[in-house]
Amino acid sequence: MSVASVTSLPVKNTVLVENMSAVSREQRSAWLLSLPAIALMILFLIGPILSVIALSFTNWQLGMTNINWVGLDNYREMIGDSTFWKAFNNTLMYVGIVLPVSVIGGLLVALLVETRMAGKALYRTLFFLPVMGTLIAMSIVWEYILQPDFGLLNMVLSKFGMSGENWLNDKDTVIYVLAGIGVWHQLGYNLILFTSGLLAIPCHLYEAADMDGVPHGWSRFQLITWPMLGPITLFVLVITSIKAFQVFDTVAVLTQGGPGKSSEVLLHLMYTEGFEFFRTSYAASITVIFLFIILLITVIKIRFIDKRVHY
Amino acid sequence: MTGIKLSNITKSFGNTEVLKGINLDIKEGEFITLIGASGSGKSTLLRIISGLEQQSSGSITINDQDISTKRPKDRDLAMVFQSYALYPHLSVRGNMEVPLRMRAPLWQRMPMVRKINKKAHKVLKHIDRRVDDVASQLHIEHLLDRKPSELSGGQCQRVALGRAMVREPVAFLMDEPLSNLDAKLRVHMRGELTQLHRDLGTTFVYVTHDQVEAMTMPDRIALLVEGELIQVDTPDAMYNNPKHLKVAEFIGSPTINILPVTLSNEGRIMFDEQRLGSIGFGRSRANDSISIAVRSEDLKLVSTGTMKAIVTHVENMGSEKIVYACADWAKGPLAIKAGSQVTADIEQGGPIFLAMDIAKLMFFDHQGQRIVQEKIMQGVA
Repeated sequence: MSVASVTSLPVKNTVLVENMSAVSREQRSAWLLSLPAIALMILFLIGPILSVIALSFTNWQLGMTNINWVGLDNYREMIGDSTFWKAFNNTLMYVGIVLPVSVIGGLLVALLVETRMAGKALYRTLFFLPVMGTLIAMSIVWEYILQPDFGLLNMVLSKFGMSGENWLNDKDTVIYVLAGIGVWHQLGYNLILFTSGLLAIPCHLYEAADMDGVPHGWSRFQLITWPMLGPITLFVLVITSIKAFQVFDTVAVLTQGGPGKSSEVLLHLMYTEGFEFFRTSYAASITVIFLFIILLITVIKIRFIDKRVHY
Repeated sequence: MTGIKLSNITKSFGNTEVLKGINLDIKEGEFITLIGASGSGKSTLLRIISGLEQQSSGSITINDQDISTKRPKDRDLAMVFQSYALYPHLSVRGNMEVPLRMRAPLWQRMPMVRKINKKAHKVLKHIDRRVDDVASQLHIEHLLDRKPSELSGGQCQRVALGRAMVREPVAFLMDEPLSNLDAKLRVHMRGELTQLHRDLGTTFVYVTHDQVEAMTMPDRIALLVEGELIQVDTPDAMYNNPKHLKVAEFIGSPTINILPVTLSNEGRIMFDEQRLGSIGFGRSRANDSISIAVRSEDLKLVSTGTMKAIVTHVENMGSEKIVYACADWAKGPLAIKAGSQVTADIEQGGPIFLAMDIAKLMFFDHQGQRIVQEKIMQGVA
């Protein structure tokens, strides 16, 4: 082994030297070809992120000409800011509901729709409709449904002798109502992803299971469906958690974070601080925290789970 | 009667009739191949036996027990798939355990139960031992902890076989199990499968489109053409005594030579304006169109004669050569198998002269049915 490597090394080196110019030429053209993409990424992605991070260490406000370096002041303020913590907790609560319900729900509905003989396309379309609609427009529809006096929901409830709440103005219900809308919006997307995953499972595996005497139902799901859905489930989890962390439209249209900050979420807080109070640097520091969370999810996906779901 | 008995099996997909009344008795311990071109219904027939597909009508019995409507897992059969169909996330051991584990009650299969429950421990211990036994029989003990993605095609095939074997089923159903392997490995596995069949003594039902596989391995061959069983016989009889022109065409390589001829009004075989030998069919077949089939090894090269042909190309197989030629009287191409010494001076485009042994000829009527030898009158004046 060692003898072989000693004898082969000089040979390798001479080849390397001879090819040097060719390799560098190839490298140069590679850089040249990727330049447009790199430039765009710096301009629209990396640049803005870096400037947001930089801004979060200043006291700059939108429209002001003076700018001072204040170090960690924004972050110190954030730690002491009860609104930030409220928004942080609300966001976690929102994700904590939307993530499991829309993922498990999406999987269950996908399984139900796929085992049906007829009407698959109809069900898929119905569940996918909320995904295709603009969430802003959908939120306005929800506003009418949830309206306490003449809203559809309370009218239906009163028919059954129940008195509905003032859903969006009650600090005990508002975050659950928003999470419900979030689930409604995300479920169809997860359903479609899971359906594609289910269709990609080779049917000869199920046939082999039939021959091997694997009982239908749970055993079959556990032996084939669930492991084979691994990669798609991971993708659904990551996409759904990122989307849930990004909740903004419904809050902006329906509650503006109210009543009394009880539905304030991170992205909406960032928006109000940055574009209503023009405290750009503070908004920037919220954004940095937000980006950190998203980064964390992505790292968890790549480092820990990715390896376990691919065979 | 023991074995698998198929009676009047039909299968239609919509308006397409795939199987048209199949009757087949598979004896216990027999190795039978179902062979046919693609679309002949051979795989469908196997899937109907397995229960993965439901027949449109007809019945199946195994050892006199009617299983026509039973679910696959209740038929006590095992199947080896062309694609192996291994569970990709399970190790080789895990894959081979499945048929035994999944027949144990759900609670016994739960994780950790093995450690606390004596009965479950015993059951699982037994499964472990059985998997070890089968693995050593197939020489895959060293692979037990690997995942299918880390195995070669041949190894996957062994694991699939092992998974079928652990349960000791009544019969093995194999759906083109070797067609994903490379040629050399396929030859090797052919031998191993035959050996395995001898060792196990279990019924093998083997579907293939490869006539070499069909000829070399089984006790009997069943040839399916367009959803009908044309002939079920030993490989020897299929080759030497085909009952139908399609059997003669399907079995044998190179394909049998077929010479279309028209009988004279006295029922004699007129061949290129000449009478063929002294045989004829009598007046009952006057002016009929028939086919004469002759194997490539039954055509002889001679130095001169009336049957002249032009060589189109020569395939050198080493020990022998296959000469392809065409002639007007044959109304098509001819293949002649000959030793390499005989063919040494043959070149492309050159003329050759052929002779054939009349006793080796096979005659088929215009519907493809074999005209049995007794009806051929010898020495018609």
